[in-house]
Amino acid sequence: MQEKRYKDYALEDFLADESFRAWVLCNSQEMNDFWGKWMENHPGKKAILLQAKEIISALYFPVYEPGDIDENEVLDKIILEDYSNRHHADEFLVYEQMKAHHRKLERWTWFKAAAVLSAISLSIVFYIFKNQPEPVAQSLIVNWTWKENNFDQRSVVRLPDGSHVILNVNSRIHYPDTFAFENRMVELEGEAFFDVAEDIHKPFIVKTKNLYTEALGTSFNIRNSDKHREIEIALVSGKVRVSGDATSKETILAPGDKVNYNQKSQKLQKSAFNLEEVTGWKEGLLLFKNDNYNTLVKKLEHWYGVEVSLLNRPPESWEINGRFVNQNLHDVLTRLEYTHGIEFKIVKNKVEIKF
Amino acid sequence: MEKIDRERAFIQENSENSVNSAESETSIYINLSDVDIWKMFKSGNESAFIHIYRKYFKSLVNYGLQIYRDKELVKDAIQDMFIELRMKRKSVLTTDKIRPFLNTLLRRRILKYIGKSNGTEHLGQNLSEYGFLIELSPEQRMINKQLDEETIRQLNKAISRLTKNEREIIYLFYFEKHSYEEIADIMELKKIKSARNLLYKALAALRENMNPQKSALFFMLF
Repeated sequence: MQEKRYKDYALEDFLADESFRAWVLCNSQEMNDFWGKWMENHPGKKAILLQAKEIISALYFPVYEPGDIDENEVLDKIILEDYSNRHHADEFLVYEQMKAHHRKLERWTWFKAAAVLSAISLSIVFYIFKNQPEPVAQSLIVNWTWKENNFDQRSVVRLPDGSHVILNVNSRIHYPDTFAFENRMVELEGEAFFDVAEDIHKPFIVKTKNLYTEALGTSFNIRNSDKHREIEIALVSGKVRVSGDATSKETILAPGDKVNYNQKSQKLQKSAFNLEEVTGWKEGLLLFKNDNYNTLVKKLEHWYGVEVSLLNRPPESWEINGRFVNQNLHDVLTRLEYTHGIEFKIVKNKVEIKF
Repeated sequence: MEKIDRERAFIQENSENSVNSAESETSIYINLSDVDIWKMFKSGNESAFIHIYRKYFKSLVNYGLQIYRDKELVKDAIQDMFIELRMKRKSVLTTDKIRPFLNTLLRRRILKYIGKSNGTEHLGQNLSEYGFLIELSPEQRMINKQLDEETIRQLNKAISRLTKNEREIIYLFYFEKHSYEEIADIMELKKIKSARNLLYKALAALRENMNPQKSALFFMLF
């Protein structure tokens, strides 16, 4: 610091000096030493300097509190807006055929679900304690939340570590209010896109059935289908390790890789995935690409939560291409009526299609 | 006039404590510089973005409402500003100071929105009275008793007569602790020197606004 320039300072000069201000407001030891010494050397300036210090110290600014501007609500909008607008040139995401049927949970199944839920909590806690030499945790009460989406909504779920999850329609995620243990474990049914906050000390693990996907600061898509007993994990960025219950089954994914796990055969199959086809759901894009009638049915059933029955079968060579962004079922089928010559009838939750 | 929350916010206590509790658990950012955090954000790291958002949200709301006291407009401005930042994250400049950078973006956006709705280029005079209120607090740290209560009363009177621009630069310099260079960016001044001049003008206005008869001490000081 240059001592010289201060000796001709008037009150205003001190007030307007960046490093003088820094001393008054930040109060570091080094600066205390400097200014203490400076005052000793310039006793005539001491009074002015102290006055300047006092004026700065005494300044106060009434602050507007956010009040009804909800921090989380605004964040949700920012993130959702972003995902619905983005042209992810650099992203891979899985497009999918997943749970074909929407099981409406009736009251009694909720009880069942509650029972299953507590079993899951227990198994997770057990899993975590298994790796922990001394369980500390009787006093640690962790509350778990289910977030569930119906067919008409996608949503963003923020996890306590700052990670966030974009949960697709017809999907559920189970997560704790705090990651108190050495892992960050959540459980997923259905499909979600994960953006994981980096924390090298606490691996982030997504449990889907008996498959564990472990990530460190990365983003990936997971989908599991009850109907087809299949789980698919597609990695967008970072690094992910997928392992089954038995330790022998394990694979590491690089960005652009996906792995399919068949629960029946218990096999992991790794392959690359197609950018065009996988980007869909986050933006409400329903995409058909050289799909046969089976895939058409699966996609419609998943997307709109309906049951599709076919009155006849088209020829083997029949295939469909097309993209629909945020369109309802009737619009989609009407267009197919023109382009592919199908006939259809929608009655409540059931759709009949004739080729 | 909308009721202002006059919770005391002394500059010493403010600034960095708006980080919420959930965020403070994620400690990886504590040791990272603004440059690194911003690079992480630019490379697509979402947790870095959320960290930035949470860290600066409250102070942006405050700054925004100081500029223009319309919660809806300020909310939209903050929201849209972050949306645009995220969409352009790759092309957004690298910054070594996140706080002034965000303040700059927010101020421009608010002025733009006001301009749109009012059909005027900048803040109407009718709006300029309320923002950036400043006071000298007599009970605050008068350790050395250099200023008596009467002097403080006089100074407050003088402060209340400052223009909004002058109050804003005091806010940016002492409350946000921005440098002159940063202030020049934020307030869209062409030269760094202009920022310095504006602050001097504000301080000089204080002197002019003071009543020399009532405060011999201050007459001496200035």
